[in-house]
Amino acid sequence: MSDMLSISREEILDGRWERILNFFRSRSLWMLYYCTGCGAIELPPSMTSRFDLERFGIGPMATPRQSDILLITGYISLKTLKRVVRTYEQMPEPKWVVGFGSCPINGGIYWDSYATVNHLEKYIPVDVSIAGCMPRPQAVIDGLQKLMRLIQRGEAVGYKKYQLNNQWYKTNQREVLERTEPVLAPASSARAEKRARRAEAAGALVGEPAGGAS
Amino acid sequence: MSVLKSILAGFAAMAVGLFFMGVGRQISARLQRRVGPPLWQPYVDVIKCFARKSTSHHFIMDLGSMMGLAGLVAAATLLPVAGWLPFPSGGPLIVILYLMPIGYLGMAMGVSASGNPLAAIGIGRALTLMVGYEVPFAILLLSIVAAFNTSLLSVMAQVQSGGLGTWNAVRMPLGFIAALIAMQAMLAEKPFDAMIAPAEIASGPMVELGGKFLGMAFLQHAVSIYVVTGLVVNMFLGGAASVPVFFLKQLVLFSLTMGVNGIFARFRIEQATAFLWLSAGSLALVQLVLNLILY
Amino acid sequence: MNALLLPLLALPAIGIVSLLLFRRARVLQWLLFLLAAGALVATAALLYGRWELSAGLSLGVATLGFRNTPLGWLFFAFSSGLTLFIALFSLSYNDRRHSSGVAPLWMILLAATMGIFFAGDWIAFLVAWEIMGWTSFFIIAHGRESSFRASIYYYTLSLIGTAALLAALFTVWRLTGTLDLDGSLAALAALWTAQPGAVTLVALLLAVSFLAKSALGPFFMWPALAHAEAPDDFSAYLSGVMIKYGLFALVRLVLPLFGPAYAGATVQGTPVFLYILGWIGGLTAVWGTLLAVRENDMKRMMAYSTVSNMGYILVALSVNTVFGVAAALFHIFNHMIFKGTIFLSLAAVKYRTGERQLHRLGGLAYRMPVTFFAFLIGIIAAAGIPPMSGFASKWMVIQSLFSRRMLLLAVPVLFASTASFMYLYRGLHGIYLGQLSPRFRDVRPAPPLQMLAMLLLMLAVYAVGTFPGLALLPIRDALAGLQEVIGAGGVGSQIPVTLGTIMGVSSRINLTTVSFVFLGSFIGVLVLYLLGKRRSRVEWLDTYTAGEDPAEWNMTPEQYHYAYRFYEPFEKMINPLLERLSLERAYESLARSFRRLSGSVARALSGGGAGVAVALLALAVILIVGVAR
Repeated sequence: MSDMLSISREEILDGRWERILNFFRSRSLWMLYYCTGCGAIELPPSMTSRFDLERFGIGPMATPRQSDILLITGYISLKTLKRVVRTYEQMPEPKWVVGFGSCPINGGIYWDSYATVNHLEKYIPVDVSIAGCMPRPQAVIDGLQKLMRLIQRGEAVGYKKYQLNNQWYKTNQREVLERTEPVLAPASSARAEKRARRAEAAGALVGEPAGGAS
Repeated sequence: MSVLKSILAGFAAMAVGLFFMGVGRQISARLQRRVGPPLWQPYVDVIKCFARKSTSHHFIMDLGSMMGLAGLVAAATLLPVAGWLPFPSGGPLIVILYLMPIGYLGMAMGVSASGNPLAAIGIGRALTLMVGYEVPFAILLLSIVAAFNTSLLSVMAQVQSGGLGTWNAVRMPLGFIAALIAMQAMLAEKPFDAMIAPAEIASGPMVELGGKFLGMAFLQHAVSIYVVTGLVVNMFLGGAASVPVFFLKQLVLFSLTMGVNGIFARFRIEQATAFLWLSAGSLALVQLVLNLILY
Repeated sequence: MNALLLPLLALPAIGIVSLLLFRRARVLQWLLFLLAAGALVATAALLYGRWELSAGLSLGVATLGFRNTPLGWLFFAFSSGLTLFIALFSLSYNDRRHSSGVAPLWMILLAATMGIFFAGDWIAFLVAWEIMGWTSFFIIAHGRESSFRASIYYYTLSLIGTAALLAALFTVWRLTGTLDLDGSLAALAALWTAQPGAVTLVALLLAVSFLAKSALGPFFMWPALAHAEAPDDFSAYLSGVMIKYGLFALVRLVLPLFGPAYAGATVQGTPVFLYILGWIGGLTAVWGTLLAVRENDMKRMMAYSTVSNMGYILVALSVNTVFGVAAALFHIFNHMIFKGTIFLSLAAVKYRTGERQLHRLGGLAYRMPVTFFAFLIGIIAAAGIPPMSGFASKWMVIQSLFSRRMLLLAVPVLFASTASFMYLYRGLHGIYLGQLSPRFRDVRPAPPLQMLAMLLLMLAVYAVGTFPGLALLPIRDALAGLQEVIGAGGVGSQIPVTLGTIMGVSSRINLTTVSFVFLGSFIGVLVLYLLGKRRSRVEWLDTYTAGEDPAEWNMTPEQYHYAYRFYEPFEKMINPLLERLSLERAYESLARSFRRLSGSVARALSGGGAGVAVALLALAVILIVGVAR
């Protein structure tokens, strides 16, 4: 398993021009709640009238193409991790990941399960983690404000880490996701399919799958 | 010179429209007993959108998004604001009514080229709704032609310049109510926002738009707010003597729209179209017949 | 043998010669066709301004008279121009695999067209009408079984029209004693006070005939079959030129009856007869649009769109002013070129893919960009959106209604115009956008000649949209002579146009300015677009699917392309109405009763001597009684 690339702070943090734009980016954050687990229950109270996230300019958005923040709420099972990775890669840059709850940090109460992952940072870069099981809305707001400050200072650069250390992240993902198989495709061809797809670096998806449909 | 004035008109449309959107979000927030975002939030949103990288599937997607915004900005330059026009066109209403669908159709072409069927579903719903609200609005245009024999917005505003009693909202109340209902659908606010339904079709046409495409979609919405409220002010609320009063009247109309938006749920698209025909359409038709008889 | 007669005789001769000599070499037939179309354009240029020209073709028993009139010349020039572009396209379209072999018949049809437009008396008109009927019957069939049924349908409706036309001809002969077109119409128009019933009868018979030809009113169904089953390049000619014959005849033969000598009842300033025709036109516009929304076959959809546009033209004609006629002629011209563009691009798609159903196509814009742009410009014009040409003519139609305060009639026109966005977008999305099927991943763009034809038509649409005077100024000059015939004075008797502006009743528009404003806005938005951050290309199946990978679920691009039952909510709403008011059932019951009648007659006559004897006796009785009276 390769190590992460070592790179200096100055090279990876945002420059001065970007920091001017970061002023606007930090004040208008759009979240995609990928409600993976039970932590999602704390989001509606944060958004609605009592705690009101919208006054910070933070609002919900429907698809990864439109949103800036990928909010991973709760535990990440292996099935979900594949979709989370694909969603993360569909988001345009700059993008940030907020880990919500204890499960993305160290596995939380599901630390010994065979079906979940314990450390999300091994698979996608996490910018801010909000601990708690579950964190109350005040903690959520505090975490998001921390993210806003990081963005303003130009230090929230998880997406650049993902670009530079792509091999490392991909190796970790492959190691874990190999254990899952799609439910509806025939079992024997799934591995061969995945290997063939990995062989094409860009992951071109157009074309007849091995099942020979249509 | 008129080129510069047209550019000014385009910028004003975007700036004023975004400001109205900010006020609208405050109204929604206050209705829900929240604090809400600051009034300049949409400006920040748009700048953030343009400061983001984006993805596109084909150059037709870029072309379509640009065409959508271009059509609406062109309609904005034809709208008289308290009698002011960038070039002497008189504010031809029929031309504006036919330029506005370019907004939808241009964006429709762009998002169809993204290949996502959810976008196509959203556009199909939007076009079905368009038949619902364009027809009553066109009948209102016919009523005003029946009354004053003009389809120029500047002349319509002039005819109503004699005080509150001469406003068409007072002289043609049925038409005004029909216009308000149609306006609600033109601005795609609840209960007529099934084409943007985030929970059903993942925001419909905007599903693949990110970065500057989303920014242009936002600007398109802002300019459409400006143009539609401007149309209703010129047609029914007597235009205005000065530009700030004109913007104030537009703001009042838009606040009314956002107020209704905050209260209602969403209609299904066939319910919405049928409702628009039966309510706005019949009111407008009655107004047309009345005007044909009375004038 | 002057410039009028030479093409009339030469074209069929060339056609027959090409059929006999070049039966194998189809390409030579189509080359001859292109030359013939070019010769027609040259004839049009020669004939301009020579309004005193006339010719007579003696057939022994009768003489067919032809005369060069401004109105006829206008239609001839428009249709020749369109035919030249289609001929360019056809030369490339009819290669070894797709050739339909209809070129000789088409050349005879061109001669018949010329005959209709330049007819000087009723007999010439009727002969040309009939020749047009049966040549198009054979062209639509073009040797295929499914097309044959469509042809029979079309020809049956055509026969109804011809029967009415014959009846009208006999009535005119009875009433006026002359068969010269202008003379007999003037004489008829003078008969309004003396015999209003007879003149109304003539007008009614002529209207039935021409409404059937132009698919208006109760005859709206035949284009969907005929235009769809005809050869693809001929569909452009059908929708572009042939369906306008009825409207040309309405302007030439029916409108002069309602000129200044009209002494009957009027509604809002226009004769009752024309008012009813106007409402028929408005309802046809709505009906055509609603039926087009439901269609899944691209050619049928565009055929219903043609029906809808004919409705607009009839509405413009019903106001009975010179402005209205100008609006109608302008819309005829615009419809010719934008429908031609649309049908030619559909032909190019069919040429490359062989498909016509919307749900089997998709994404072809990515492989055939020029064809896509042709279709796009065509549908922008069809929707009536500035800066393309369709807007100016729709605007004029609405303005002509304003001049008579016939505002209630404007409601169906505006409804149909708005609802047309729906099916036009559906065609664009279903064929050209969305997902590209793997079957068509290697489709090549249209051949260069076809692209050239489409480019020229696109240019024409855009040019007339920016400078409407290009078409309106010739129309105005052609109608200058028609004022005494149609009706002078009052609102709408002038056509104030310049190269870029049109002065209507309720406002004046400057279309050049509108076009440039749109262009300027586009450039402004382009600058804004370039100011944003870079965008990156992504794969086609890399769309938002809630994190799922479509390939993993064996999802193919064809399944992912949304095209079937596109407007299901709208269809749910209008289907009950369409079912209840369906004319198809009425026609079917009529056909059933006719079949029963013919069956019983056949049985009676085939049962040996007794039936035949009865029939002969009945015939003898009728003859004796008729002769004795």
